[in-house]
Amino acid sequence: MKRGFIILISLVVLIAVILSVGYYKIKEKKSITGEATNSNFAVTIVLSSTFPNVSIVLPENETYITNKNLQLNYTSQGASSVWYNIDQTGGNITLTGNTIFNTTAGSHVLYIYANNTEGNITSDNVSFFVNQTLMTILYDKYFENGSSTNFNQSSYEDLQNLAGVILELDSYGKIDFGESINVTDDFDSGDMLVDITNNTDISFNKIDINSTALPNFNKSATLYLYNLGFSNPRVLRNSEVCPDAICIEVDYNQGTGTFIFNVTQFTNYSAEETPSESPGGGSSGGSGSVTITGPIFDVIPNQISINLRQGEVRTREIAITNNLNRPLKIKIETEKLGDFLLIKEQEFTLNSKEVKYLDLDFIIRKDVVPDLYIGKIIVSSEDEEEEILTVVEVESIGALLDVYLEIDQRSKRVFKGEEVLAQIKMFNLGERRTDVNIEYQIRDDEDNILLTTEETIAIEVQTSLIKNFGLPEEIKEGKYVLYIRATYNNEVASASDFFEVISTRTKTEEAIYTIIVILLAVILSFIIYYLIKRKITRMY
Amino acid sequence: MALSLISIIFNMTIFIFYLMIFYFLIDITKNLEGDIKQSSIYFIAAISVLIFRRVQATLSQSEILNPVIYSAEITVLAFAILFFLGVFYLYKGVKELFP
Repeated sequence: MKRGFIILISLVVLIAVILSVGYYKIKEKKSITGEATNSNFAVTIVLSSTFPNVSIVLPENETYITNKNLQLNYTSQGASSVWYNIDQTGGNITLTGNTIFNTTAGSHVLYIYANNTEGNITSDNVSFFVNQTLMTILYDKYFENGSSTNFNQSSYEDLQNLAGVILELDSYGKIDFGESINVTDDFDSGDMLVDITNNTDISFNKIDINSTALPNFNKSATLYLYNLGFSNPRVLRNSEVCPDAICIEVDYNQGTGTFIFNVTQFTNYSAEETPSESPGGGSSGGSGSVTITGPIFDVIPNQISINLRQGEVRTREIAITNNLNRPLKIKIETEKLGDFLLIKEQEFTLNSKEVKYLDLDFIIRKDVVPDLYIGKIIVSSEDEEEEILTVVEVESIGALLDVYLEIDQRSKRVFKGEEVLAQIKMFNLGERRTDVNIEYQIRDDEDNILLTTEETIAIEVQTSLIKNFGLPEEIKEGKYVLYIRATYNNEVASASDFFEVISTRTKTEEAIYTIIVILLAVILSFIIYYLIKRKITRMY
Repeated sequence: MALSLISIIFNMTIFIFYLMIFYFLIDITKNLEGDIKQSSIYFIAAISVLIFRRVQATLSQSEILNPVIYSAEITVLAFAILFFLGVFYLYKGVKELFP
């Protein structure tokens, strides 16, 4: 008990000491006197001799299956000359960069040396073993062809899990494996031979791997078919349209005819021209493919309204989503907005299900006349086109009037001949009462003015109006813009809002559901009445 | 679609009750004679107006039909007239039965 009490007291004292030291340390750090400090100090610079650095990257301390064209890769720093020898015999060979070398079967040590201008020499060495009987890889068709992997440069250990394997024939195509492969084994483990040359076929519009003979090569890969003449190719797997679960198209360059696609497994792959798809729907192929109904891409928002002053720049963002299970080329064009709108990326490819956020830079020069400018941003793919109705309001740079316009929610969608109800607020940011000329316009999506009215009102500080705009019976269905331009002292302030003229507010399906509900109510009421009647009849 | 679930439930409940009254009136009219039968026919006509109004309201709320100006007032007026006639003939018939 007593001992425990002493230990507890000691701990408390120790913690208090630690905390107080910490406190004073913090306090010291906080104490900035502002006094200038000045003291002399001596710096001693010791110049010592430097040695160059050199180290061997390849070969590694492993076993190689060939004695020819082995890779010698090294790194050096501060070296004026580098040389090497094998087993300290056969003389030194000067190196100017990575090279290849030949040797004999058996165990070897590769020595590499580097010296600098001071004559200081550094060395490195690596032991390796050459065993030509361990196995043979036949790949003469791909040897030094394009970016094909040189298997003999890798050690036997590395070949058992070799990453980035590429088989390429310059004129026809390329297989770029996405997974590591055990190249040392095939269907016959006992023959110590892997025949890549005869079990693979890269020819015009054809890539084939005999995955029975080379089971380890049955891995996911990116395939390249060169010099195709198609305008819109699609992938064939064993001469049938490849399902999306196995093949994903990446890109097709019509200029070079290079078709790139990913595959998850191997057999025979080729390409053919894609039959034209019906507009409004996308199809990813024939048997086994998934048909997508509805738009092949989505664009959000479907309308843009932007208010800028002369000399102002503003950025808006749109999102484009590829609904297909294959890459989709998207093209962005503008209509009547060329003077204001800058789109950095006008053509791009969206991968399957990818969403791209695209910046639209609205640039209003100082000499642009204050007005409402209506145009369209057209987003198109090969089969579908979406339009974004774009309204650019330009106000005077020195306008001291703020205009606010909001169309009533019930008037956002109106029938022909109905009225559009709008609330307008105006704030005078100047110093005195001002007579403001207000012009109301209704414009369609082609920038045609359908209605114009004008009035003059005096604004002290702010004013609020509710206006009704009757629409003509002959107005067409579509999107319209209500535009208010307030002018005083030749300065223009404005506001706008969208509304839509419709023929019916309800979709056909919704109308059918409503009618079904009414019919069900009729039937239900009859049943209820019949049941009540039967019960009453039984009672009396 | 402007028709919410609550408005659907209300509309359909009212509609079902109107229809049940309608069936009931048709049923009892078969067994009536004279002024009371006449009264029952007026009640059937009155409830038919209400049923018509309810269907029109449902379709208007669901934005299938364009709203007709004063349609509510017209149907209520028609109902009032028919209901008055129904009550009048009912009184007449009852008076005949119990002079």
